[in-house]
Amino acid sequence: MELVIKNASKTYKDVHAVKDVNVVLKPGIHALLGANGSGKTTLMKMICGILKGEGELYFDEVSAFDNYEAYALHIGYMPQHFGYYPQYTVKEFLEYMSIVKNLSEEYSHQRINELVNQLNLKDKLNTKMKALSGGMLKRVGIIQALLSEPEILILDEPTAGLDPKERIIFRNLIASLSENTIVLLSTHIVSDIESIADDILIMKEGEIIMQGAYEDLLQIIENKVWEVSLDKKSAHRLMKETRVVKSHYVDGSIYMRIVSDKKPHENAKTVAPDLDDLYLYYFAEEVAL
Amino acid sequence: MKIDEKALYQTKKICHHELDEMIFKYNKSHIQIFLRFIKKEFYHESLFALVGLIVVFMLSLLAKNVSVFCVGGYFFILGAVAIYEHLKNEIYHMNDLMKMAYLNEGKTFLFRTITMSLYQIIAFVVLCLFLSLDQFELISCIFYALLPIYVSQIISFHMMSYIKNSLQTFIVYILSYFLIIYIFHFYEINTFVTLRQSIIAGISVIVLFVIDMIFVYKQRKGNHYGISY
Repeated sequence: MELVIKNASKTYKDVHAVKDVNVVLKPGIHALLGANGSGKTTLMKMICGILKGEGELYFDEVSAFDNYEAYALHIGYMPQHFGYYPQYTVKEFLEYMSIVKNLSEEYSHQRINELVNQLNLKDKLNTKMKALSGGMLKRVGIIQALLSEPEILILDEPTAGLDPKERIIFRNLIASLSENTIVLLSTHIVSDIESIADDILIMKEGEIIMQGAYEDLLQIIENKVWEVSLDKKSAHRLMKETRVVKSHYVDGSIYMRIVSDKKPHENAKTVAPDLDDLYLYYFAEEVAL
Repeated sequence: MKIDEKALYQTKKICHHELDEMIFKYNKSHIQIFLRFIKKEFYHESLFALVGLIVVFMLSLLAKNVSVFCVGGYFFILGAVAIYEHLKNEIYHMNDLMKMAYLNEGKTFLFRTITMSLYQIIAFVVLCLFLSLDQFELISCIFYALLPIYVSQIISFHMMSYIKNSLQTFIVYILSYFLIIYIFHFYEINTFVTLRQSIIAGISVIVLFVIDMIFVYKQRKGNHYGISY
């Protein structure tokens, strides 16, 4: 089972939202990491077939362009801004989605029960969609994406707006799916990726600039992450010259974590990198904004 | 060539299992999807249909002309339904989800048109009871109002894979409708057909339409998975 994306490009007037993306995705969790406007949502919508662009898209041997109906059957999608009919109850909405997805009555009844139990929404089945909190709406969004047991699951910013408990539920659910499903999720929250992603794709200005496992990607910034404690004056000078991941006061001096190709200060010591460091290394401009 | 009978049997068993799962998962005919959809949307459908029925009935009664106002009213309500379907998804940001769904916006509208056409039979019977139509008027009504609508429905159904939104459905529907009307008009069909023949033609098209709903779907399933059942 594999999803093949070949030379995918999408241009809006003169802006290249997605530029020549070539990726092969196999079952597992693939995290798409990038700043706002880097093309994550556009790429996801292209994979879903919602946006037309250039290039080729195959799931196994089914082409998204030649046989979209067959291709789309394999996809579950949760958009970043999840739309819903506010007058429907959760149950009515999920039933409606199962109808438009062409699922049989018996199957969808069974599947909805299974998923609402798994995502702790059983007591909200008769609540109107408009009365749900942001986190609950996200859960309904995930359920509708999973209704048909899709082989490809596309989740655009699924954890945004979720509280820590909901985030844990979500992570466990996604992890349980990864064996037989190609999960592609985009997020800004790097801690979500660290714990569950098998593969990380870093996107910048419409291009996939890097792809690999968490540990492999961190090797790129090995010996480029530093920690140092300095007095206030020296610390402020260093903050202007380098990319500071985090800083805080400790016993009158300022502790700083810095990403830099060169040793930023004579007292600085290298430390083990994490995904926040990698993100800053590649997206320093966006973070500065 | 040596064939491992046991492995062959095992493969067959797995294939059947896969097929059973698929049959359980998806609807087996368009009638099933249609009935589920209409059951869910019954309130909205009935509202539109009731308004449509009243409009068509009042206009026909006042003008004493069934065919023209049946058709006019029918397309007026149909246009309103198409706009409703489109705006509903636009306002509630459901476009992305609906574009990917098997029943995309165009198909949900097409399903609504089926309900509308079913309600039209009721309207037709009610009108026949209230208005004393002569034989010629009845034949015109069947050939200009009832029959073309079901033929358009069949044509739209066959164009289903190409239909993405309600506007496309509406265009296909209305174009096929006027093409049929043009053919009937060109051959002046109502001048040489008897009432009995008209009724038989009307019923035959409706039966054909129901058969088509099952047949088209089965063909599509075969295309999707390389299997037929």
